[in-house]
Amino acid sequence: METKNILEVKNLCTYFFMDSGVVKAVDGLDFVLEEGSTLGIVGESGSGKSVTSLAIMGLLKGTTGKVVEGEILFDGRDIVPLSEEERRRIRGNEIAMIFQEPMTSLNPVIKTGEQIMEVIRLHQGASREEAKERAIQLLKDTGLPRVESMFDEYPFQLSGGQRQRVMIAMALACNPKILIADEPTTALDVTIQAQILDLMQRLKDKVGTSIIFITHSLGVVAEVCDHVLVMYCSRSVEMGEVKTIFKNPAHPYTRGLLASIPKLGEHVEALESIPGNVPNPKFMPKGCKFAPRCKEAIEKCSQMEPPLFDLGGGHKCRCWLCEKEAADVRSSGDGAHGDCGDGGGRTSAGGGVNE
Amino acid sequence: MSDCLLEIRDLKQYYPVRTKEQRKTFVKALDGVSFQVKEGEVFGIVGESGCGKSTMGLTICKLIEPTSGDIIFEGRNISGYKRNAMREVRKKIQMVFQDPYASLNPRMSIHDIIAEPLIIHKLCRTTQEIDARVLQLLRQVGLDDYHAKRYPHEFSGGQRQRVGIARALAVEPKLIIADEPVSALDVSIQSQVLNLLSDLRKELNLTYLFIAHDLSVVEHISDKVGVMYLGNFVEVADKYSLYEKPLHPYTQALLSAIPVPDPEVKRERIILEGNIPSPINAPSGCKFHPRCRHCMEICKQKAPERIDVDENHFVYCHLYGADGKLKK
Repeated sequence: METKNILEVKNLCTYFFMDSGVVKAVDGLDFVLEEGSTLGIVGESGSGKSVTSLAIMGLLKGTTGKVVEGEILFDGRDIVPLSEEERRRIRGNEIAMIFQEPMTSLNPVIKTGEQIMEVIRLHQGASREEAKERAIQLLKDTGLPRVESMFDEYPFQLSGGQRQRVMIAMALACNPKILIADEPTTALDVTIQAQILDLMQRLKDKVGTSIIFITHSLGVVAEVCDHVLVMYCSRSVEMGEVKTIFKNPAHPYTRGLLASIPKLGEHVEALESIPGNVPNPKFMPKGCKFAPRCKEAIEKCSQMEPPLFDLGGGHKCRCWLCEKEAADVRSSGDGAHGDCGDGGGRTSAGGGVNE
Repeated sequence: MSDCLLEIRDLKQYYPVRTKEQRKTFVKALDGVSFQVKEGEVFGIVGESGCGKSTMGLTICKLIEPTSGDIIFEGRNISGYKRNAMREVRKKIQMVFQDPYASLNPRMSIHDIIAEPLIIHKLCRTTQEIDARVLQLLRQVGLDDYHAKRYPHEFSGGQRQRVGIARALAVEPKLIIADEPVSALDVSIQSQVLNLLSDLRKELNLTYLFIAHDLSVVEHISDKVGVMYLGNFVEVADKYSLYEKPLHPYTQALLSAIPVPDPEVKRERIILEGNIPSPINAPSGCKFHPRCRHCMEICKQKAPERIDVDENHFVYCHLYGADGKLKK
């Protein structure tokens, strides 16, 4: 059965124009989100994960950032050139977002219930009574206790986990087709994180939303995502199904990330670690961005940036070490649908089986 | 015990607060905590936000005065020490803080930051001595000589944390209290700093009190782990027995809540209901009882006693009899 791609991002370039120069926050990013699936985007701070989500939401207005190139196809339609008015109709309605910090993303001077009602009234033209009824139902769905009294409370009166539940209720108010969750559990304790992940999974099954899950925690990705996109320095370095990425990571960066997290029940003397730091975006290395930190770098790496090689089965990797493997895949005709997309080529993070 | 470096006995830290209902009441951030740390050991403290783990670090370092209880460091009870006496002790106890962005003075160069403890404690006599020592410390934590002239804003999070560690090492302490030293760092940097801390410990024979909320990080670095909940330990054990056979229902839930970075492992997760109750009106009896799956009548009334399961493992829970076995 063919799965539909609810979102396709093609060659997305988002640059920030500052007095001190241009910062390429996202540079030539391609990925797809299959309907009903969860895509995890992982990367370190500054790798461009959050900017990607802001670009999809159309929330870069008012910053120095701009989508300079590329398409964002939502349900087959490019939403980049749309007017602010048209974008607003999509935002919060068909594509909704949950932010990292539930304290700063709720308005502190408006009652929680009021904030959820606003979304419903704005996008669905419901009356106050209808909106209130629906908002209460949404809050109940998120498993919050004493919903009626909480409705008239302000965000500061709630705990972190409760605020994040309110955010989720608000994001799901219009049954969005896509939910972008930007580090939704990073600010929360582990037991609360487990509650929220569980809740998101349940609501996803109920509403049928596709989710983009942005996080730096590989543990969370392994638990909730179907596909993964690993970003490093504004670019995708590897993508594929969760199982493939965790079992057979191809890119040295992905391997380094996986090796550097301490695992429960595993006792090792020293952790593997990736030496060095993420390069300053204003002084990007020539060639592969990861080469200066890479243990396996060869001469070619510092001269030319590798394209995204197709390793078959939707698994792609931006590393010269994969060149041979990709050629084998191509000649055997396994991953025949994709020429090794060079930056602008069509690539898909998902399934990729197009029979 | 002779090799016991730090002993805490019935330590209490109450913060006075006002609420709507009561004019004067207390947040019991530490409510009678007792434990021992042996020399050369890494003692990890885990717990969720608000359980009192940071207060523990600050109180032991006497950056806040304890309400009551004893802090015995190298056989001396330092809980009553005043400022001047404490200054001597701080040569032996140093802290590394969570947020490397907030814990370094932005207007001081790295050299000045690391030299400050040397000057305060009169450890170096001449400028040359100070310079040499600062460079030695920088190299020890994996930074370069030229970094000394720079300012904190020029560094990444991981590098700043290295500076914080160098500053703590400057006075050649015996005990380092590290309060969430890696939680503000990216994954790839986190492992660098953890490895650095492990190497330094071997090299300099340090003892760590390692406070963190991440159980996998604590398991990696610690020898012994204490799990805190609302101002008290609920379970303390060496890491092997704690992670392999956690006894307290809270420890079990915490361990099961950690996402495992392996998509093939699907575990039964114990989802705890509700939030941590406010420490102002902590629940009666066992403080964990409102969220506990195994809550019994006695749990609501009586706080559980310490039960020694074996030499290195104790738990506070009514589920276990005095012999350390599970009651039927």
